[in-house]
Amino acid sequence: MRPTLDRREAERLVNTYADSILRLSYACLGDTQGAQALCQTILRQRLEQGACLDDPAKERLWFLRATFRACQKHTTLDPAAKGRVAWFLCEGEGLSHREAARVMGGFPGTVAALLQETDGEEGAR
Amino acid sequence: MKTYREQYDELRFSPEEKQAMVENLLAAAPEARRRASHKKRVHVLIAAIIAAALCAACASGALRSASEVFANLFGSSQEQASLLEQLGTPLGVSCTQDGLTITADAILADEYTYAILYSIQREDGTSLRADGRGESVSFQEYTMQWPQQAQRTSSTLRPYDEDASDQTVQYLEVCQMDQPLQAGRMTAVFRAAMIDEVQADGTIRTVPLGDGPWELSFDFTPKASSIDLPTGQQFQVDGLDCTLTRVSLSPLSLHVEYTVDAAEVPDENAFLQALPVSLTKTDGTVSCVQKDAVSGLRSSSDGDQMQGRKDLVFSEITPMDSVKSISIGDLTVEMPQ
Repeated sequence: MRPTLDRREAERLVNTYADSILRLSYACLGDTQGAQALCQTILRQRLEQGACLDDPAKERLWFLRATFRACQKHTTLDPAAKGRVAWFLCEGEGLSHREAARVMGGFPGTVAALLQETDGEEGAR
Repeated sequence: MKTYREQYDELRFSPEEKQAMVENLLAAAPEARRRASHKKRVHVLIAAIIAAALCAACASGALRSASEVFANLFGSSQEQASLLEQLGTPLGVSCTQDGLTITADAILADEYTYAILYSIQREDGTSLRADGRGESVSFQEYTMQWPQQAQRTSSTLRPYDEDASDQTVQYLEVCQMDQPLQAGRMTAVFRAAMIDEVQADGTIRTVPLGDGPWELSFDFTPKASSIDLPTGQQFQVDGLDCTLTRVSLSPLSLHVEYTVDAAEVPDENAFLQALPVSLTKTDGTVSCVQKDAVSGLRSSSDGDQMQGRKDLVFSEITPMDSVKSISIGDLTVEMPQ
């Protein structure tokens, strides 16, 4: 059953996920150019799916995974970008290593290794 | 210099930008789905039952949900219905020629695979089945025009009768690509319909029904439904060294890519048969077997290696948290915990 889209639902989606999409795309691509268009695309994809994801945690993972995959299609992510993504997902969004692995594809151990390499690089930009 | 946290905390859309996104979302939503007030969400299965009742009352024109369209083919449990709604998109695109109406009911897709169910009925509502025998309607030509998508594919189109008591028959197309599906305009074209006719002596003869063409066009947008499993592992097939390069899993299908450290293999068919692929569930059952997989080999761009692929469409929608591991030859790739 597809959720009905009224103004309240549209505002909920935008207010809940738009900033996370922006930040994750920045982590992947290193800039915010086109982030608003990307956000619009991801939100429309969610609408087109039409399914109810009543679990907020699952819905959030869906948005993060869709954003990450959209960024992957835009460019190949180098190890530094993957490190930033891992940091953002775990430190910024509060995901577990397992959840971050589901977003990025791979093992939780890989996420942990990326975080170790990224640790201490804060402020290096 | 700012820390990561400081940088990210500063990144946010302005209230004006968010408002613009809300308005764009509302403008993009189909008119039928807009509501003036928030309505309570209805369970997927209840909606499917309501949609089925509408379809029984009106054989043409009613748009069925993806879970209803594919329930008999890919599963009808509550969890499967929810996954079908996530992976599926109702289409409801029809074309009538020569007294025959073909409708693309819905499409189901992940990163590499799509399935489309078509319904076929006579414009006047009379039966397509030759006195209940034969294979009813068939087509001499079917193509999918998709300019945005590269050509290498494996595709099957087979008849499927969802309900033998009604006047509609179905066809299911399943197509597996070796490259990710691209957004774009798809056009299914059927030509040269044939129909089984019962002769005076009781035998069945296949005769032309109409040339068509029946053209059904719709926009396709891929959905993020697949996950990538760890790769880089090495294994051997028929004595040749191979490296796993991609494992993409969704509730609909499994896509495996690998390289072969050889410019050619002596017997391609034997080589492909020697690489079984299976999926083990958390309950211990093995739900996929070698014979159902579609395989292929091609030379790499430099000619020094070969690139192989295996694609498997599951017989039913498979929740990914029910999957324990994927086995490729003697290699086992565990699902991320």
